[in-house]
Amino acid sequence: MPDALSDAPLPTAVRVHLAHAVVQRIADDAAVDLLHLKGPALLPGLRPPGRKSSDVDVLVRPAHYARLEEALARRGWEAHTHLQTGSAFAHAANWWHSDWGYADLHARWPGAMVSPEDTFDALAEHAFDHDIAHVPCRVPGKVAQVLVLLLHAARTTGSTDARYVWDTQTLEEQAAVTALAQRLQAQVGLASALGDLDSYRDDPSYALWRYYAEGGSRIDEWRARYAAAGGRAERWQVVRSALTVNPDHLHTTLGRAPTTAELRRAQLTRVTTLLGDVRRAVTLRWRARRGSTR
Amino acid sequence: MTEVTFAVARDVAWVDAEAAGGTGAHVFLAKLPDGPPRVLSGPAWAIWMALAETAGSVDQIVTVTSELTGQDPEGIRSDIESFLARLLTEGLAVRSGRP
Repeated sequence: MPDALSDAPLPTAVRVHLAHAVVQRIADDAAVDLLHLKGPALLPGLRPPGRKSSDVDVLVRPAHYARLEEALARRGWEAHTHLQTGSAFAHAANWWHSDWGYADLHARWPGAMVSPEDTFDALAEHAFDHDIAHVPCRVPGKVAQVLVLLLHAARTTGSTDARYVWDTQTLEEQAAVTALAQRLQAQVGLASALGDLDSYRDDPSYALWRYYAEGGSRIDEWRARYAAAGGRAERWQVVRSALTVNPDHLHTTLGRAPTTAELRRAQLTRVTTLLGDVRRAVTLRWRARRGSTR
Repeated sequence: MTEVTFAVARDVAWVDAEAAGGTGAHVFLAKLPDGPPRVLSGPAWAIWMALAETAGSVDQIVTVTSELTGQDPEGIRSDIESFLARLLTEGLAVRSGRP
């Protein structure tokens, strides 16, 4: 019979659907709890028209995270970034498979200030099985899906998703989302998503959410991350990250593991660039201050 | 005598191209968790869709495939039987009942 069972490159949307199913199966085999987020995991109506996913997003029960990483590695997946280096929030790692593409493994969801375990429990409270590629995949209930989308939109400069998602909810649903945000101590992120961030001007994370909403320079980002850091150890981690080349990102840029010499060169460039940025920022501030006193 | 029926195997993920926003008579599938990803097109797509829809006997699968392709049922029956046998061999479909 012609055209039967041939290997073929997968269209992106198809690959993402199959990848969700693959990750769910690997999680099931390893007894890992996870929740599928965004993309094909969303309930109908929550996805802005025309929006397509390019990768898989899952939130993993923190206690099961290492087990899932081991299980993925056994199935031919490779870690492209790691939890501590994957993002400003140190919340996710990026994995890749030659057939299934990229999957972001989230250990927590940025914006929720309660513990990662409590966050998972709250988002999983009304979870249910939703078929993706005809395989039952665990997804959060609708209220949790909406909050997850809003907090994600708040971290995406120029995103209009938040308004779309919020405006399509009933008043009761909006109240439920607000209540869940309070339970997760995610009010600042929610306010940022809904354009009400100025109500939280005194919050330590205010500058970081503003940076994500409006964009800014690298210096703006590092200052905001420093301000949002919870304690001395976290602040030191921010300073260290600012001064140190991220080997995961360099790996991604080069498409291979960097050599020692390349890491050294990148490190020198990073420090030089950062010092230049600081000098420019200080100069601008000084000029602004001098201008305002004249 | 128990009727023999066929169904998609439980450990197979599959996506109809149109359902994923694409076009054309293609279905993409993979045996979990390792794949590899495969594509069925044209008549193979029609047989797969009939298999998934009916989870039924060869007669039922032939009938639905015939409706999807517009071809004479008797003309496609042997092709369908061969294809089902291949799906069974590859673990993509399962058979219930005894002939």
